[in-house]
Amino acid sequence: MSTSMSCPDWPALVARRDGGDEPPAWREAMVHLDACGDCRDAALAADPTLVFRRLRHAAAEPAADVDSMRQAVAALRRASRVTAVGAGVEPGSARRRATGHRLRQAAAALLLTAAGFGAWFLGQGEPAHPAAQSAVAAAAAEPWNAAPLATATHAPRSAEELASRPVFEGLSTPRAADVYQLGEEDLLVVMVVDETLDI
Amino acid sequence: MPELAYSASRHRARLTEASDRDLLLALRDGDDELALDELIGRKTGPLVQLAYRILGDREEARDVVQVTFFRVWENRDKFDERWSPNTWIYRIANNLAIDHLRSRRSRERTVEPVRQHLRQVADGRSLRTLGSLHDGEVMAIFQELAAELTEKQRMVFLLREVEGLSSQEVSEVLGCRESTVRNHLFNARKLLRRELVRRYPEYAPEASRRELLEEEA
Repeated sequence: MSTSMSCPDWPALVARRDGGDEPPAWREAMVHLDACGDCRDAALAADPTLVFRRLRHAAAEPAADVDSMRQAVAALRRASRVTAVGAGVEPGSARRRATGHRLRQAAAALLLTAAGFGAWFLGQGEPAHPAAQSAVAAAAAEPWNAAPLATATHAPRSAEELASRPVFEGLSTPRAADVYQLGEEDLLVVMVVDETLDI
Repeated sequence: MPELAYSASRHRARLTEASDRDLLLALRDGDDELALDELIGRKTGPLVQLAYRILGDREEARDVVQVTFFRVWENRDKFDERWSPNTWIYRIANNLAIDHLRSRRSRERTVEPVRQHLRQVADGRSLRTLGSLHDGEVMAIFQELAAELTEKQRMVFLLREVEGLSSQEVSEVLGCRESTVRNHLFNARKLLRRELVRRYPEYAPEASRRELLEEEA
């Protein structure tokens, strides 16, 4: 015995429960049952279906599976931008596509970095606006979903908005990114640090 | 010096302390993808377990849960903060799992070998009791017996007895009255008990075996 409740009369308790109203002590009895080895056989003799309560103790999902779930859901969301939602999304295929998408993301980030540094280094007038850079990245990451640069994404309207949302939303990798800016009103340089990229 | 304008890791750290309801509100009001990631981290395990108990196949369960999160994202603007987050998500998962179950016809094929194996094990070790079965054996027996239940009975039994939801929560998930939940639960227990005694008499308590004999007589 390891709980404060004393071992209940299981046949009587089960009979009361099956009679219609769940006795107020039932929930407490279930907690007791989980902790009291002495009660296990008596409870199962009164109601063998109580054995199925053990299903709740099945092993949790490993962390790696949670990560692959995240990638699979992200892949489904990307796929839904191309295919109409409800027109038959195939979950298994979405999960398989997740790996390929990471490669496209890496390629997009390289392209973006090269474009940003190129513009800055050559000093060709106004540097590319982050919104335009984002659209380039989005087109590279999702060529099937490329949109005209002017409408692919909106430009941050204020410093607050910039701080609250990832600039490179089209890149679809905000989960690990840190975004730095140099300058205040006229944004000159934006640097993205993304721990998921292996360059 | 460059100024930090946005840090995903700091944002993510804040989200780990948010409640489930706050995460859903962040999804709804801010299209916050990190909130979805956090939600996936919290709910994948319980939802896969639930879907696995319904479907009896872990891979299919994961597919169902994957689509569940996708639906959560797609319907994020419909979330009402008065609703219980768990109830809302469970309802989506439950409906998807039921749809999946209806479209599948392989249940008997997958269960029968397991049953034969369990019978052989039981025959060789007649002194084993129900309480001494391994979790995997309990799961296999449940999958077999649950095939006799209606979809509603199976869902009510799982949500109430295994997941530990209250009758009111189950009624919200399934969209029916509490009295209906109680009826389904009563019938599910009765059916499971009868089938357990009938198919696995070696594990059934003496009292239950007598009860079945009287019932059949």
